[in-house]
Amino acid sequence: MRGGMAKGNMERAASGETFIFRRPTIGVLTPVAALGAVFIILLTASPLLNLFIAALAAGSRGLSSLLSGSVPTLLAKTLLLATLATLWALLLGVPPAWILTRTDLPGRRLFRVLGLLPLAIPPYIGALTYITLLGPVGPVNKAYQAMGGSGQLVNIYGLWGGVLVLGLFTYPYILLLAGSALESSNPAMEEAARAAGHGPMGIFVRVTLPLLRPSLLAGSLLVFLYALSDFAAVSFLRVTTFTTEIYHQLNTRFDQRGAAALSAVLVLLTLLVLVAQRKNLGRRSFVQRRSGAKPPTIYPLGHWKVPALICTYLVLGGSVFLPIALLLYQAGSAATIFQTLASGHRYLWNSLWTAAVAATAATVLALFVSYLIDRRKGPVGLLLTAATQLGYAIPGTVLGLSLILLYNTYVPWIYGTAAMVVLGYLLRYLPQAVQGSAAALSQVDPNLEEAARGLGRSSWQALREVTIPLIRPGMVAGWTLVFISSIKELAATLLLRPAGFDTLPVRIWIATIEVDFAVAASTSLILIATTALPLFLIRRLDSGISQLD
Amino acid sequence: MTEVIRLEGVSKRYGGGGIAAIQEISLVVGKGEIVALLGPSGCGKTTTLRLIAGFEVPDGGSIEIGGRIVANERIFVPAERRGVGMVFQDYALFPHLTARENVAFGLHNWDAERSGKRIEEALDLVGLSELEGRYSYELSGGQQQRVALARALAPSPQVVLLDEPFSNLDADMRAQMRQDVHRILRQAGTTAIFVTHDQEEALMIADRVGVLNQGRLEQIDQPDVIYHTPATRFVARFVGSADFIPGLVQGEGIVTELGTFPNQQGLPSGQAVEVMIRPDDIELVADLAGEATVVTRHFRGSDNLYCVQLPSGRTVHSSQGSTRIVESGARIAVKTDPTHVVCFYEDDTTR
Repeated sequence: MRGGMAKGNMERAASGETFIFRRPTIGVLTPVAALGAVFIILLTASPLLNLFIAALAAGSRGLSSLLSGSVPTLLAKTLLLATLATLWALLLGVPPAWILTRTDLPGRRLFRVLGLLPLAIPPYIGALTYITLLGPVGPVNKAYQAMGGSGQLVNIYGLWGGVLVLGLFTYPYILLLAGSALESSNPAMEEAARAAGHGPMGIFVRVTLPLLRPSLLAGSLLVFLYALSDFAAVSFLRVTTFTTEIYHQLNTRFDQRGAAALSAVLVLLTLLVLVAQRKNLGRRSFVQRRSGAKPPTIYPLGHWKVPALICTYLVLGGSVFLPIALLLYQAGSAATIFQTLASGHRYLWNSLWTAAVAATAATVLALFVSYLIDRRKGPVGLLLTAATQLGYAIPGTVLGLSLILLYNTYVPWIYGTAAMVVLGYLLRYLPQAVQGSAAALSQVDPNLEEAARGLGRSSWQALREVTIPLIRPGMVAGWTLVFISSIKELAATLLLRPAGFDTLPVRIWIATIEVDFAVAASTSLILIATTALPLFLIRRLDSGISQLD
Repeated sequence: MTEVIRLEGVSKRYGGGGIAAIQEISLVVGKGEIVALLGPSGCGKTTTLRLIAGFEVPDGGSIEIGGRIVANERIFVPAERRGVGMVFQDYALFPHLTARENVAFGLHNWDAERSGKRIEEALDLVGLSELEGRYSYELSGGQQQRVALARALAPSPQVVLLDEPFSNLDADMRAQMRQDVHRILRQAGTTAIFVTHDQEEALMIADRVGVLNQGRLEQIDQPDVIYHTPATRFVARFVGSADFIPGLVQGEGIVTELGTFPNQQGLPSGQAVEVMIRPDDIELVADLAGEATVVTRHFRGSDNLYCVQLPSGRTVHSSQGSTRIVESGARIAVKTDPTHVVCFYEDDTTR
């Protein structure tokens, strides 16, 4: 042993005798890290800043006419739509979340996976299917007329159609968040309530629901923000909201400043919601996820089994089975789908590569950002967090517009290339990647990196050999989320794409406008397939992660 | 004695010149020595360890490892180039690597044959050769610690630093691991510094114990010296327990209510002092006419700790055998015969 030691020492003396001088730091950051942080903040914040400048440049006259005219009604309509859609999504999401996690419903595991499927169906495709079903010439209205009714039984166009569709295709956010909160909640609390003499109903109302509040709030926020930002579904359903109005200003009236002013109002609205949410969460602490503890109580359904099954089937039916069946019906035959795929493979390719590049770039940036935020506390981290969360506050239409305004003016050679599309995806969905790697990173003990450094690795090597292998599942999950979101993105793509650069969503948009529903439906099916696959992979990974700890 | 570690006047502040974590710490550790840094939480012992390891940058002073300056006001050698092994409180085993791969982690620059041999040696030393294929979650706390130790020792570092190495273990496991770690470190001939808040641990394992209080090194010496002749009141109280009774120096003796003690330190006559009395220095003699009264008795398993009130109203503690029972309220005589008389000036709060 001693012999080995002496040799080791000599080797060390030979290799490591260099003097190393104290490195300069800017606050707690090395110059490279500081430069990177500045770059990311510039990249993420500049479009929005420029947008506000453009909005102000519209002048007080233009602004005041805008504010006195359409804006108040537009605001009321948009808020009403978002609120109703959120309530509808809560109604659709909470009961199945409870039934699927806390009861002995047969097949609940399969249902939980299927319950995620609507996330793979973008609401604009959902809108298409419901227009097919409930539109003026859809089977429902035709049957009604055949039975002697006059006019329409239901009118899918307008506010209620928008509410119906947005809720149906966003409730999985609530199902997911409420479901995992229900699964990880401490059974001791419910047992305490039971010991105090409450039945299952009383326990749900008095204990479970209040404990669910943070996750319900978070889920509702996602739905609400989605409804505020949605462009394509509401366009198809002919609901006028901020986003459709911005698009209208931009594409038919060519009024960039008016569009910028409207966008600024919408962004402020979104930021307001986000700040309110932050404050709310700040006062209450998050429900801590426990691992390895007792699983929650499972209630036997007894004679409630049939109603519970019907409830689950109704929700899934309306959001998964029915839309897919309608799409298949619209597409006509497998031959149509293959034909669409064969003639339009370059649209698929465009979708795939832009989303993949954006997801990869987002993952790399997210690793850097989450590392700085997690390991170097301080103002830089806060600023970076805020900057990278901006994507949440920017609807696709607004992001498209602000990027056009900024890059057309200052970097015209990027404008009009597919890079703009990638950039749009990157900025819009960077928060998802940051969340993925930040969550994973917070699970990694900083001691592990120090241990690696004590064993002769530089910080960079420690990151590569220890940290990255450990957070890989989180990074992959983040990548997949960005990829899925990007591949579905329509509004930003419409605005940012170079002429003739069509992606799958753009094809669906064009086909719908051209009333070619067979192509729209078969392209939709291709798009759903491309997003469903990674969604299932991520689900597998998720269970892999929970097995690890 | 060859020097391995030398700290000179090392200081560290946290939060932009705010609270001093450690102040002017000087310390020399010789080759093959095992030194314990002992102190209550927040005394700066872990900070000292992290400064030596290179995870913190000192604000003042200099640190030398193996005769090479690794930190002073101009130079800072990062952790990965210091040749220091570290065992973390929670072991910090890489969860994505097996026990063997963990041990191999520090040998990335060695050629395959030598590193293979070295890994075997290290695993053998900690007695884990059979479990080399396991991941950390498949190992018990004690086994994880052995892997951590093997990993730290494998690259033959000049010094191994251990941060509260036994605090995450159950009581019975802890006693076993103390012995094992001590044996392993001795067998490897490694210089080691470990941090602990457990005095028993420090006294048992270390060749020398350094006691830290509020960022200052109050005393560093052999365990028995620390125990018998503490340099400060803090050390006297923190290492073992102690009562202090007033006394007056009169020539060759120090007169107290427990009798006259020899004036070993040669203090000037007329000096008012406080004499440190350990519970095991006090003998209780059955005497119905005794002047002291038993106040309480705490049975501690291996002994009984008595609290005894002296005629002056002052109380002192006495440790008696576990079978020696004296009822509370009993009159008793107190005899004391300390081998080391430790006095502190009465008006000085530290000495």
